[in-house]
Amino acid sequence: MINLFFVFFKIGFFTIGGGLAALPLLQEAMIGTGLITENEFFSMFAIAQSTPGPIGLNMATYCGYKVAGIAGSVVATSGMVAPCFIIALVVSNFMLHIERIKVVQDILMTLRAAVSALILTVVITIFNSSVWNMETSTPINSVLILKIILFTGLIGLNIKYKWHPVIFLLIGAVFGILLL
Amino acid sequence: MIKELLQLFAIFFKISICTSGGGYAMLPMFRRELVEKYGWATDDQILNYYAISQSLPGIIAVNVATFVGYRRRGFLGALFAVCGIVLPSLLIIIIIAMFFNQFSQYVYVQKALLGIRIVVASLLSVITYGLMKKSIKNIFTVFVCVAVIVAILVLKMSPIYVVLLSILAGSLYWFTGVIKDKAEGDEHD
Repeated sequence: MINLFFVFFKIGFFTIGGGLAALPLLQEAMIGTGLITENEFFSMFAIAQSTPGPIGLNMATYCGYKVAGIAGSVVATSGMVAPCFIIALVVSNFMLHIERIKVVQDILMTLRAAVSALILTVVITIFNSSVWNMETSTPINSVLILKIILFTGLIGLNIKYKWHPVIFLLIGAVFGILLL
Repeated sequence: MIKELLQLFAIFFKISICTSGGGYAMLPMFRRELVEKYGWATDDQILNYYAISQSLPGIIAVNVATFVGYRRRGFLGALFAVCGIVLPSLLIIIIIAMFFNQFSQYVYVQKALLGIRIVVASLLSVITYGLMKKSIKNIFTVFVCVAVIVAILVLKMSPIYVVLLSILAGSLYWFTGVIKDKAEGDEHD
Protein backbone atom coordinates (compact mmCIF):
# COMPACT_ATOMS: atom_id res chain seq x y z
CA MET A 1 0.00 0.00 0.00
CA ILE A 2 2.78 2.41 0.92
CA ASN A 3 4.44 1.40 -2.30
CA LEU A 4 1.26 2.20 -4.26
CA PHE A 5 1.09 5.61 -2.61
CA PHE A 6 4.64 6.43 -3.67
CA VAL A 7 4.18 5.18 -7.22
CA PHE A 8 1.35 7.67 -7.60
CA PHE A 9 3.14 10.35 -5.61
CA LYS A 10 5.95 10.08 -8.15
CA ILE A 11 3.50 10.25 -11.05
CA GLY A 12 1.78 13.28 -9.51
CA PHE A 13 5.11 14.97 -9.00
CA PHE A 14 6.28 14.53 -12.58
CA THR A 15 2.94 15.45 -14.12
CA ILE A 16 3.50 18.97 -15.34
CA GLY A 17 0.77 20.80 -17.20
CA GLY A 18 -2.33 18.95 -16.05
CA GLY A 19 -3.83 15.48 -15.92
CA LEU A 20 -3.14 14.57 -19.54
CA ALA A 21 0.58 14.78 -18.88
CA ALA A 22 0.10 11.93 -16.40
CA LEU A 23 -0.94 9.65 -19.23
CA PRO A 24 2.52 8.55 -20.42
CA LEU A 25 3.64 8.08 -16.79
CA LEU A 26 0.57 6.02 -15.91
CA GLN A 27 1.01 4.03 -19.09
CA GLU A 28 4.54 3.13 -18.07
CA ALA A 29 3.62 2.32 -14.45
CA MET A 30 0.51 0.29 -15.27
CA ILE A 31 0.99 -1.37 -18.67
CA GLY A 32 4.77 -1.56 -18.40
CA THR A 33 4.53 -3.58 -15.21
CA GLY A 34 1.66 -5.74 -16.46
CA LEU A 35 -0.85 -4.51 -13.89
CA ILE A 36 -3.34 -3.48 -16.57
CA THR A 37 -3.61 -4.56 -20.20
CA GLU A 38 -3.20 -1.95 -22.89
CA ASN A 39 -6.75 -2.63 -24.02
CA GLU A 40 -8.18 -1.98 -20.58
CA PHE A 41 -6.02 1.11 -20.04
CA PHE A 42 -7.30 2.89 -23.12
CA SER A 43 -10.90 1.83 -22.53
CA MET A 44 -10.52 3.36 -19.13
CA PHE A 45 -9.09 6.53 -20.62
CA ALA A 46 -12.24 6.84 -22.72
CA ILE A 47 -14.33 6.48 -19.57
CA ALA A 48 -12.14 8.93 -17.63
CA GLN A 49 -12.64 11.48 -20.38
CA SER A 50 -16.39 11.28 -20.40
CA THR A 51 -17.19 10.95 -16.70
CA PRO A 52 -17.18 13.87 -14.25
CA GLY A 53 -13.97 14.85 -12.52
CA PRO A 54 -10.42 15.59 -13.67
CA ILE A 55 -9.01 12.98 -16.08
CA GLY A 56 -5.82 12.41 -14.10
CA LEU A 57 -7.74 11.69 -10.90
CA ASN A 58 -10.18 9.39 -12.67
CA MET A 59 -7.27 7.39 -14.10
CA ALA A 60 -5.50 7.22 -10.73
CA THR A 61 -8.67 6.01 -9.01
CA TYR A 62 -9.16 3.27 -11.57
CA CYS A 63 -5.54 2.12 -11.56
CA GLY A 64 -5.53 2.03 -7.76
CA TYR A 65 -8.73 0.00 -7.76
CA LYS A 66 -7.18 -2.54 -10.12
CA VAL A 67 -4.18 -2.97 -7.85
CA ALA A 68 -5.87 -3.10 -4.44
CA GLY A 69 -9.64 -2.53 -4.56
CA ILE A 70 -11.39 0.43 -2.99
CA ALA A 71 -8.59 1.07 -0.49
CA GLY A 72 -6.14 1.02 -3.41
CA SER A 73 -8.11 3.65 -5.29
CA VAL A 74 -8.16 5.95 -2.25
CA VAL A 75 -4.42 5.46 -1.71
CA ALA A 76 -3.54 6.00 -5.38
CA THR A 77 -5.66 9.13 -5.67
CA SER A 78 -4.22 10.59 -2.46
CA GLY A 79 -0.72 9.83 -3.73
CA MET A 80 -1.48 11.62 -6.99
CA VAL A 81 -2.99 14.64 -5.24
CA ALA A 82 -0.39 15.00 -2.46
CA PRO A 83 2.51 16.50 -4.46
CA CYS A 84 0.40 19.13 -6.23
CA PHE A 85 -1.38 19.98 -2.99
CA ILE A 86 1.86 20.48 -1.08
CA ILE A 87 3.60 22.38 -3.87
CA ALA A 88 0.57 24.58 -4.57
CA LEU A 89 0.42 25.49 -0.86
CA VAL A 90 4.08 26.38 -0.75
CA VAL A 91 4.35 28.38 -3.95
CA SER A 92 0.94 30.01 -4.12
CA ASN A 93 2.29 33.20 -2.59
CA PHE A 94 5.28 33.85 -4.77
CA MET A 95 4.79 31.81 -7.96
CA LEU A 96 3.78 34.84 -10.01
CA HIS A 97 7.14 36.44 -9.26
CA ILE A 98 9.09 33.28 -10.03
CA GLU A 99 7.40 33.03 -13.40
CA ARG A 100 8.94 36.30 -14.53
CA ILE A 101 12.47 34.96 -14.10
CA LYS A 102 14.02 34.17 -17.49
CA VAL A 103 15.49 30.77 -16.59
CA VAL A 104 12.11 29.56 -15.25
CA GLN A 105 10.42 30.72 -18.46
CA ASP A 106 12.94 28.84 -20.59
CA ILE A 107 12.55 25.65 -18.55
CA LEU A 108 8.75 25.88 -18.76
CA MET A 109 8.90 26.44 -22.49
CA THR A 110 11.03 23.31 -22.87
CA LEU A 111 8.78 21.29 -20.57
CA ARG A 112 5.64 22.27 -22.46
CA ALA A 113 7.17 21.11 -25.73
CA ALA A 114 8.42 17.89 -24.11
CA VAL A 115 5.05 17.11 -22.53
CA SER A 116 3.16 17.64 -25.76
CA ALA A 117 5.62 15.27 -27.47
CA LEU A 118 5.14 12.75 -24.65
CA ILE A 119 1.38 12.84 -25.18
CA LEU A 120 1.97 12.43 -28.92
CA THR A 121 3.80 9.16 -28.21
CA VAL A 122 0.69 7.97 -26.32
CA VAL A 123 -1.43 8.86 -29.37
CA ILE A 124 0.93 6.81 -31.52
CA THR A 125 0.58 3.84 -29.15
CA ILE A 126 -3.23 4.01 -29.24
CA PHE A 127 -3.21 4.44 -33.01
CA ASN A 128 -0.96 1.38 -33.37
CA SER A 129 -3.20 -0.77 -31.24
CA SER A 130 -6.57 0.44 -32.47
CA VAL A 131 -6.35 1.57 -36.07
CA TRP A 132 -3.28 0.39 -37.87
CA ASN A 133 -0.16 -1.18 -36.44
CA MET A 134 2.70 0.70 -38.06
CA GLU A 135 5.34 -1.71 -36.79
CA THR A 136 3.88 -4.98 -38.08
CA SER A 137 1.97 -3.16 -40.83
CA THR A 138 -1.31 -5.06 -40.74
CA PRO A 139 -2.48 -6.08 -44.25
CA ILE A 140 -4.81 -3.60 -45.86
CA ASN A 141 -8.42 -4.77 -46.04
CA SER A 142 -11.88 -3.23 -46.00
CA VAL A 143 -12.07 -3.14 -42.18
CA LEU A 144 -8.81 -1.21 -42.01
CA ILE A 145 -10.08 1.29 -44.56
CA LEU A 146 -13.29 1.76 -42.53
CA LYS A 147 -11.25 2.28 -39.37
CA ILE A 148 -9.14 4.94 -41.06
CA ILE A 149 -12.26 6.66 -42.38
CA LEU A 150 -13.72 6.66 -38.85
CA PHE A 151 -10.45 7.93 -37.35
CA THR A 152 -10.02 10.82 -39.77
CA GLY A 153 -13.75 11.56 -39.92
CA LEU A 154 -13.91 11.93 -36.15
CA ILE A 155 -10.93 14.26 -36.17
CA GLY A 156 -12.79 16.47 -38.62
CA LEU A 157 -16.02 16.35 -36.61
CA ASN A 158 -14.19 17.07 -33.38
CA ILE A 159 -12.49 20.14 -34.83
CA LYS A 160 -15.71 21.45 -36.35
CA TYR A 161 -18.19 20.69 -33.56
CA LYS A 162 -17.46 20.87 -29.84
CA TRP A 163 -19.69 17.91 -28.94
CA HIS A 164 -19.48 16.18 -25.60
CA PRO A 165 -16.96 13.30 -25.75
CA VAL A 166 -19.75 10.83 -24.91
CA ILE A 167 -21.33 11.43 -28.33
CA PHE A 168 -18.09 10.54 -30.10
CA LEU A 169 -17.59 7.51 -27.89
CA LEU A 170 -21.13 6.28 -28.72
CA ILE A 171 -20.34 6.58 -32.43
CA GLY A 172 -17.23 4.48 -31.79
CA ALA A 173 -19.15 1.89 -29.78
CA VAL A 174 -21.78 1.46 -32.51
CA PHE A 175 -19.03 1.20 -35.14
CA GLY A 176 -17.28 -1.47 -33.07
CA ILE A 177 -20.41 -3.55 -32.50
CA LEU A 178 -21.46 -3.43 -36.14
CA LEU A 179 -18.15 -3.82 -37.93
CA LEU A 180 -15.33 -5.15 -35.75
CA MET B 1 -15.67 28.65 10.17
CA ILE B 2 -17.04 25.13 9.80
CA LYS B 3 -19.85 26.46 7.68
CA GLU B 4 -17.44 28.08 5.26
CA LEU B 5 -15.28 24.96 5.09
CA LEU B 6 -18.31 22.88 4.20
CA GLN B 7 -19.29 25.50 1.66
CA LEU B 8 -15.83 25.28 0.06
CA PHE B 9 -16.18 21.51 -0.06
CA ALA B 10 -19.67 21.72 -1.58
CA ILE B 11 -18.70 24.24 -4.27
CA PHE B 12 -15.70 22.28 -5.48
CA PHE B 13 -17.66 19.03 -5.31
CA LYS B 14 -20.25 20.64 -7.55
CA ILE B 15 -17.64 21.97 -9.98
CA SER B 16 -15.99 18.57 -10.22
CA ILE B 17 -19.18 16.56 -10.70
CA CYS B 18 -20.64 18.97 -13.26
CA THR B 19 -17.72 18.91 -15.69
CA SER B 20 -16.11 16.17 -17.68
CA GLY B 21 -13.11 16.26 -19.94
CA GLY B 22 -10.47 17.43 -17.51
CA GLY B 23 -9.12 20.61 -15.99
CA TYR B 24 -9.46 22.88 -19.01
CA ALA B 25 -13.15 22.06 -19.33
CA MET B 26 -13.60 23.23 -15.73
CA LEU B 27 -12.51 26.82 -16.38
CA PRO B 28 -15.98 28.17 -17.27
CA MET B 29 -17.43 26.37 -14.25
CA PHE B 30 -14.78 27.87 -11.94
CA ARG B 31 -15.62 31.31 -13.29
CA ARG B 32 -19.37 30.91 -12.85
CA GLU B 33 -19.16 29.65 -9.27
CA LEU B 34 -16.19 31.54 -7.87
CA VAL B 35 -16.34 34.83 -9.74
CA GLU B 36 -19.99 35.39 -10.57
CA LYS B 37 -21.81 33.57 -7.78
CA TYR B 38 -19.62 33.94 -4.71
CA GLY B 39 -17.20 36.72 -5.61
CA TRP B 40 -14.37 34.75 -4.03
CA ALA B 41 -11.97 35.46 -6.87
CA THR B 42 -11.71 37.84 -9.81
CA ASP B 43 -11.48 36.83 -13.44
CA ASP B 44 -7.82 37.79 -13.47
CA GLN B 45 -7.11 35.70 -10.39
CA ILE B 46 -8.70 32.60 -11.92
CA LEU B 47 -6.67 33.04 -15.12
CA ASN B 48 -3.51 33.55 -13.06
CA TYR B 49 -4.24 30.40 -11.08
CA TYR B 50 -4.60 28.54 -14.35
CA ALA B 51 -1.35 29.93 -15.71
CA ILE B 52 0.50 28.98 -12.55
CA SER B 53 -1.09 25.54 -12.38
CA GLN B 54 0.04 24.76 -15.89
CA SER B 55 3.62 25.11 -14.80
CA LEU B 56 3.31 23.27 -11.50
CA PRO B 57 3.33 19.53 -10.97
CA GLY B 58 -0.06 17.95 -10.62
CA ILE B 59 -3.60 18.16 -11.82
CA ILE B 60 -4.78 21.65 -12.73
CA ALA B 61 -8.16 21.42 -10.96
CA VAL B 62 -6.45 20.31 -7.74
CA ASN B 63 -4.02 23.21 -7.91
CA VAL B 64 -6.77 25.77 -8.47
CA ALA B 65 -8.81 24.29 -5.59
CA THR B 66 -5.76 24.49 -3.33
CA PHE B 67 -5.15 28.15 -4.21
CA VAL B 68 -8.75 29.25 -3.70
CA GLY B 69 -9.28 27.17 -0.54
CA TYR B 70 -6.04 28.41 0.98
CA ARG B 71 -6.93 32.02 0.27
CA ARG B 72 -10.31 31.69 1.93
CA ARG B 73 -9.51 29.61 4.99
CA GLY B 74 -5.85 28.65 5.12
CA PHE B 75 -4.67 25.05 5.19
CA LEU B 76 -8.04 23.56 6.19
CA GLY B 77 -9.78 25.53 3.48
CA ALA B 78 -7.38 24.10 0.88
CA LEU B 79 -7.92 20.59 2.24
CA PHE B 80 -11.72 20.81 2.08
CA ALA B 81 -11.65 22.31 -1.42
CA VAL B 82 -9.35 19.54 -2.70
CA CYS B 83 -11.52 16.85 -1.09
CA GLY B 84 -14.48 18.36 -2.93
CA ILE B 85 -12.65 18.05 -6.26
CA VAL B 86 -11.42 14.51 -5.58
CA LEU B 87 -14.55 12.86 -4.17
CA PRO B 88 -16.68 12.70 -7.37
CA SER B 89 -13.82 11.00 -9.24
CA LEU B 90 -13.37 8.47 -6.47
CA LEU B 91 -17.06 7.61 -6.12
CA ILE B 92 -17.95 7.44 -9.81
CA ILE B 93 -14.84 5.59 -10.96
CA ILE B 94 -14.99 3.04 -8.14
CA ILE B 95 -18.57 2.21 -9.11
CA ILE B 96 -17.62 1.91 -12.79
CA ALA B 97 -14.54 -0.18 -11.93
CA MET B 98 -16.66 -2.60 -9.89
CA PHE B 99 -18.87 -3.36 -12.89
CA PHE B 100 -16.31 -2.94 -15.65
CA ASN B 101 -14.76 -6.39 -15.28
CA GLN B 102 -18.13 -8.14 -15.43
CA PHE B 103 -19.26 -6.12 -18.45
CA SER B 104 -16.04 -6.51 -20.38
CA GLN B 105 -16.60 -10.30 -20.59
CA TYR B 106 -19.35 -9.84 -23.18
CA VAL B 107 -18.36 -10.04 -26.84
CA TYR B 108 -20.43 -7.00 -27.81
CA VAL B 109 -18.88 -4.92 -25.06
CA GLN B 110 -15.43 -5.94 -26.27
CA LYS B 111 -16.33 -4.93 -29.82
CA ALA B 112 -17.73 -1.62 -28.61
CA LEU B 113 -14.49 -1.00 -26.69
CA LEU B 114 -12.42 -1.68 -29.83
CA GLY B 115 -14.45 0.99 -31.63
CA ILE B 116 -14.15 3.36 -28.68
CA ARG B 117 -10.38 3.08 -28.81
CA ILE B 118 -10.38 4.45 -32.34
CA VAL B 119 -12.41 7.38 -31.02
CA VAL B 120 -9.94 7.92 -28.17
CA ALA B 121 -7.08 7.94 -30.67
CA SER B 122 -8.77 10.60 -32.78
CA LEU B 123 -9.94 12.78 -29.86
CA LEU B 124 -6.47 12.67 -28.34
CA SER B 125 -4.91 13.53 -31.72
CA VAL B 126 -6.92 16.74 -31.81
CA ILE B 127 -5.94 17.61 -28.22
CA THR B 128 -2.28 16.87 -28.96
CA TYR B 129 -2.36 19.00 -32.10
CA GLY B 130 -3.64 21.91 -30.00
CA LEU B 131 -0.93 21.37 -27.38
CA MET B 132 1.82 21.21 -30.00
CA LYS B 133 0.59 24.31 -31.77
CA LYS B 134 0.80 26.21 -28.49
CA SER B 135 4.11 24.79 -27.29
CA ILE B 136 6.24 24.75 -30.45
CA LYS B 137 7.56 28.27 -30.81
CA ASN B 138 11.04 28.04 -32.28
CA ILE B 139 13.69 25.66 -33.66
CA PHE B 140 14.73 24.68 -30.15
CA THR B 141 11.24 23.45 -29.19
CA VAL B 142 11.00 21.52 -32.48
CA PHE B 143 14.28 19.84 -31.54
CA VAL B 144 12.93 19.05 -28.04
CA CYS B 145 9.83 17.39 -29.49
CA VAL B 146 11.81 15.25 -31.92
CA ALA B 147 14.27 14.28 -29.18
CA VAL B 148 11.44 13.27 -26.83
CA ILE B 149 9.75 11.13 -29.48
CA VAL B 150 13.04 9.35 -30.26
CA ALA B 151 13.78 8.89 -26.53
CA ILE B 152 10.39 7.30 -25.86
CA LEU B 153 9.72 5.26 -29.01
CA VAL B 154 13.25 4.25 -30.03
CA LEU B 155 15.29 4.34 -26.81
CA LYS B 156 12.29 3.29 -24.64
CA MET B 157 13.26 5.83 -22.02
CA SER B 158 11.06 6.39 -18.98
CA PRO B 159 8.89 9.55 -19.20
CA ILE B 160 10.25 10.62 -15.82
CA TYR B 161 13.79 10.90 -17.24
CA VAL B 162 12.35 12.77 -20.20
CA VAL B 163 10.88 15.37 -17.81
CA LEU B 164 14.17 15.64 -15.88
CA LEU B 165 16.25 15.95 -19.06
CA SER B 166 13.86 18.62 -20.36
CA ILE B 167 14.47 20.67 -17.23
CA LEU B 168 18.21 20.32 -17.88
CA ALA B 169 17.81 21.22 -21.56
CA GLY B 170 15.73 24.28 -20.66
CA SER B 171 18.42 25.46 -18.23
CA LEU B 172 21.13 24.98 -20.88
CA TYR B 173 19.02 26.91 -23.38
CA TRP B 174 18.78 29.77 -20.91
CA PHE B 175 22.52 29.57 -20.19
CA THR B 176 23.51 29.77 -23.88
CA GLY B 177 21.16 32.75 -24.19
CA VAL B 178 22.98 34.47 -21.32
CA ILE B 179 26.39 33.83 -22.90
CA LYS B 180 25.18 35.12 -26.25
CA ASP B 181 23.76 38.27 -24.67
CA LYS B 182 27.00 38.85 -22.84
CA ALA B 183 29.08 38.39 -26.02
CA GLU B 184 26.88 40.88 -27.86
CA GLY B 185 27.12 43.24 -24.91
CA ASP B 186 30.94 43.04 -25.03
CA GLU B 187 31.01 43.85 -28.73
CA HIS B 188 29.17 47.07 -28.07
CA ASP B 189 31.70 48.10 -25.40
